[in-house]
Amino acid sequence: MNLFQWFTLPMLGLLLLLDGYGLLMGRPTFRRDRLVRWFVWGAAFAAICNPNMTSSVAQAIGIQRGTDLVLYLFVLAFMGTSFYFYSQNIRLQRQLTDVVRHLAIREAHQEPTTQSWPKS
Amino acid sequence: MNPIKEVPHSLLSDLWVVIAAYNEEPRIGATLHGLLSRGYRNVVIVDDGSRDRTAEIARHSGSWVLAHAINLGQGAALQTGISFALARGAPIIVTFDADGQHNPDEIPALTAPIMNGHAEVSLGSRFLGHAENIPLGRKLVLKGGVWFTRLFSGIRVTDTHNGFRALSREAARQIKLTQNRMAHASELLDQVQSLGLPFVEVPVTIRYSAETTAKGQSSWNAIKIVLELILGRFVR
Repeated sequence: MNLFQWFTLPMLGLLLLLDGYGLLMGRPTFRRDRLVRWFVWGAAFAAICNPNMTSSVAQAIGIQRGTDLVLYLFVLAFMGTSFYFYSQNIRLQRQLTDVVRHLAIREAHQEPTTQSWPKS
Repeated sequence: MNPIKEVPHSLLSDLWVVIAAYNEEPRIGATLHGLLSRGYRNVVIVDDGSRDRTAEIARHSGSWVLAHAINLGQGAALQTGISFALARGAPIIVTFDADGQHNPDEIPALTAPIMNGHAEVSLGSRFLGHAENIPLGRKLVLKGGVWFTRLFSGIRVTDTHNGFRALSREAARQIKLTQNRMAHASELLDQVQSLGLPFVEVPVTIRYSAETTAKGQSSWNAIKIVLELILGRFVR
């Protein structure tokens, strides 16, 4: 094992254990998020533990280099994450709009006019 | 100013005019004068977080004034005004620009198809009517918008981003604008098509001035509108 593996593998292992424990014992509300995280930690652990694995998987699906596979996965993850945060932003904006609208309608008023509007 | 045309009495009481206004201090007074001097009683100004005296001028005119605490955009302001008008029992709602680009004398012609029961939505079209002093760039972008709307929504109209339109109560009740900013105009057409609401286009006049053109949307916003509409379809 190299220095990088000595440093990262224990951390990833700890994260795997924590989320694995949370999956089994934690509240069902966050189960999906934990499961996604557990797979991410697991894939990172496996890839760092055995660097040749990414090359094997890449070649098996027609991509020549393991680094290309990792890059493609990162691009896909970036796009997915961006859309997720965009969606969250839109939902938050809609909620804010509802609040502002509710207040505006509740406080609507019409003052008796002091002006006359002559027909030209 | 041209002499004011006589407006049918029933229209004056049935019609609610909704105006979204943002920093329109120099123009809102004349726009309101144009409507109120013709006898329209139900005028709703939605001040969309203006930093100038727009709301104050509107309040003194005797119109209904609704104030957004923050600037949300024209689409959000119109939906606020429409929701308010519906809550007050409005039978017909007209959306009207605050900057004086629209001609209040054309309201009876715009609302006639709804009054006669021929349509639920009446859309003003500057390309069937007149677009005075329209910049070439704006014209090209608007024409591009017509083609995009045909592809995106499948609705065949000649003018997609015209804020001068009339809605029956039923149409206003069904249409829900979720696009806060300029994409609301395309969203409205999209909903008209998907809800199967009968619509007509009516020739109207849009007056462009250097002031309104400068304040208006830049042509680059067209790209933003397209992106917002496409992404908006995936967010529920």
